[in-house]
Amino acid sequence: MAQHPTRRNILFGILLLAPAAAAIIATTLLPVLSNLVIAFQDWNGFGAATWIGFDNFSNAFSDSYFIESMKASFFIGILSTLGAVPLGVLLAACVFKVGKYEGSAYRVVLFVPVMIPLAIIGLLFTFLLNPEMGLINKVLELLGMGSLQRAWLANPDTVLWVIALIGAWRMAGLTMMLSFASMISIPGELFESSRLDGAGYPRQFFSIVLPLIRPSLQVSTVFSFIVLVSTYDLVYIMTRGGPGTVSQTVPIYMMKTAFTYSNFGYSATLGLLFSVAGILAIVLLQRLFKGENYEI
Amino acid sequence: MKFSENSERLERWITRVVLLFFVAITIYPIVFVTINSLKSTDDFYANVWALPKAIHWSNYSEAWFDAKIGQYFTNSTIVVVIAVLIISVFGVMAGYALGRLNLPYAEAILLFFLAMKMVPHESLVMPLYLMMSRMGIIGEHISLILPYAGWGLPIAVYILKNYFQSIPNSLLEAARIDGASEWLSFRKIMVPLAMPAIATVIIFNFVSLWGELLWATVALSTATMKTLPLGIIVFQSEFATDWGPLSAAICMVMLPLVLVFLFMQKYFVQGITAGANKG
Repeated sequence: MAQHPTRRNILFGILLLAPAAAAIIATTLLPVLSNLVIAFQDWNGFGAATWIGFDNFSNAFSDSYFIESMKASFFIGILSTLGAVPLGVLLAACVFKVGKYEGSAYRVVLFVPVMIPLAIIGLLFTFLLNPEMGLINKVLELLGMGSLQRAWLANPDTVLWVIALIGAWRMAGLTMMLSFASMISIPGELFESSRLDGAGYPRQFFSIVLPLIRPSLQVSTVFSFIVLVSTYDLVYIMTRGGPGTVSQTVPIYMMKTAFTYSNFGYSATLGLLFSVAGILAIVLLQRLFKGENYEI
Repeated sequence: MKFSENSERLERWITRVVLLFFVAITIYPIVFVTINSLKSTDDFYANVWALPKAIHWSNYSEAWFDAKIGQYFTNSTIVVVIAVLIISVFGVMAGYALGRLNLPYAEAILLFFLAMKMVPHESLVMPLYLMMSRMGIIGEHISLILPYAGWGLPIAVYILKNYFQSIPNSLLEAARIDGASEWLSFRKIMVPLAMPAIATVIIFNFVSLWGELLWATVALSTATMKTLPLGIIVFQSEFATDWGPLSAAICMVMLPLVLVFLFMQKYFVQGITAGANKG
């Protein structure tokens, strides 16, 4: 039985809660509120700020760089999530199948990319994608597909696809780990009885496993999307937003607007619009996953 | 039995092949960079693919001393260790308060924390930069430690609150009957029991802060101090063709992460899955 809140108890609780609350308020709530204010101002960061109402917002909607950067961010976010989640589920299904000891070794290795900082992943792939001596072009040459060789990161047609693929490579391990964790909680009898009915593993997977791991699929989809839609590090390292502004994601454009062009008000507006778009997308994703609910 | 031993074995082999293929894709970039970190520049350009002709350790010392990776390594260690400590201590306190003390509005407070986690960092860094430069602390270690701690806390509180709630009441009752104060039972019973969750919080935050780039770029834009990821970028843009030392630097960034993960992966996996299955 939980005890009733007494005055002493509440005081103790507040004392314990205060430091965390203060840190969160100072580093997140205050900046968000201040961002909200600056978004309605014209300000270069030094002189006096002038209130300009919704001017920044109307500028943003007619700013082709901003529209393009939104498209780039969401392209990377959606495409790499679409790659990472199914791949992660496939890997989890395989790890689950091969059994406990062998499976745990694969699991550890497949999770490694999730831990490596995006900046380092960017460097690794800059290496592998180097047009003259990078691995990817060498492999294509060996396979007799030399005509497919590209300067992958300098080519406006390929750069966003490549970044999205790398994003998928990075996040697949997370989906794998989370789906695997819910797979092991599925009662074994379910598999045995369907096996007696003659169902092979692929059919078992679609009819038993997939419906039951839906909650962790939801968590990993939302999480992968959040990480990848706001890609900054990867793009910054690999292309700096180039060629031209093709791979300029919103965070890159915002940082440029604020710290290169000293347009702090406009940068705050872009951040606000981007946050709203991102939160809407997440709400939509949650909706998509709601549908029917399966229970064991 | 309809289902033969053979098709069972076949299924196992197919999954094994799929796994080995993806393990190769996953691990190759890391193996590649490790191999090249041991080659001399000539060796590197002669054949990127081959194993090194002779092991060339000097890449490591070159990166560590000449490219100042050692100095950045120290900076990152100081910042990340202190931030993770703050997150763990404050997180344990708040998680306990929300999970065990029956405070009014506990759910609402937790929701507020999680909502704060949802805010994208992109719209925080610029106002935070302005706040901190007005306070005159921008570019100092503290200007990294504070936001790192504040940004890591919501999830830490969430994980720890769930964990504290799962500890059976009987233990606390016993202590209470023996006359232990609220503070004593917190310190002597709850905190030691929560060690696995605390380990999860430590690893989770260590891994995500070790490579943090966005805020570091902004906060340290005019400072001479650099963190490791930032230092590597400078290295890359100044010595772009020096692949050997650059590879060595990359390996040195990854090493602590791999070590931390290997030592504590059991806890880490338990922790993230416990948190995820709640949702």
